[in-house]
Amino acid sequence: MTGALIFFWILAILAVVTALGVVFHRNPVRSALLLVLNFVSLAFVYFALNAQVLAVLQVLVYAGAIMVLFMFIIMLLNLGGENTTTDPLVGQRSVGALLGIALLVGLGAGIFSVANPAPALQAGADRIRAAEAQGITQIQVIGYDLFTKYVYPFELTSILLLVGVIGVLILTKRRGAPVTADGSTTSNP
Amino acid sequence: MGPLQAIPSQYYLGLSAVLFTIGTLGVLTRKNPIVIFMCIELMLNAVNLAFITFSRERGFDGQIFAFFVMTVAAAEVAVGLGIIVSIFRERHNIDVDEVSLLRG
Repeated sequence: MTGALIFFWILAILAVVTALGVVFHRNPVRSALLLVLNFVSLAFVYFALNAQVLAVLQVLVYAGAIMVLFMFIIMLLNLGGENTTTDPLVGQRSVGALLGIALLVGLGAGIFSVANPAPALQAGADRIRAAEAQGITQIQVIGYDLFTKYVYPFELTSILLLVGVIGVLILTKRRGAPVTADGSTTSNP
Repeated sequence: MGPLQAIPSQYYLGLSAVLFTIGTLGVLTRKNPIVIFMCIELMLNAVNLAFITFSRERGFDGQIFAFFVMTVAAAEVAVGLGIIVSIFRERHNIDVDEVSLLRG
């Protein structure tokens, strides 16, 4: 077993164990912390896949920004464990587990039925090698593609983020709270 | 080509499939909407892993797709948590079995 394979297995087992912890922990705070660990181990997998930019973005955006938001909401709402005694949907857990296993079997069959992965489109791999030979870094190539080939999707994501910001403002605004002259809202409508 | 690239892509795709399945299991079995959201993040990350695995073979497009997935995930989390906060304000309970306003 080579060092690379050992590295991969350590990361894969860590990712799977933390993912199972997210699903099966009763306490949402522990789930969130395990999810951070899962994101970090996936970031290392991205490093192993030679995608350094995405690995850094993974830590910054997911483990940093998104998980802080999750923790903030969990702490704000002060949620306890969930009610596991009553189950209005009879057999939800067992059917869910069965469907999950079926999904895994289907995905696994799809991946491993291909004896040899389809031959890589040589143009893309060649482009990576040519860029590396010229000393062009990955982030330069990604940034260039983002503003030439993918400029319209890129602009669409900025509109999406704007819509998200406005939507959250409208959703969480207290209905019926009058705004006073100094701009603050009173708590009693 | 570093030594770390010697691992076949199917290993990474298999890890991605396992993580996606665990995320699906969580969405199907948990009742706390925040945990369900975390499981959706887990599934999005599994898809990102598949994208990046393919981008290793086929150029940078997969990485750019993963970048877009991250952006969409950030927007989705912000809106979803906003919805959870506003539901909590109305009912002081966000268990998905209790919040059945739209049930037909």
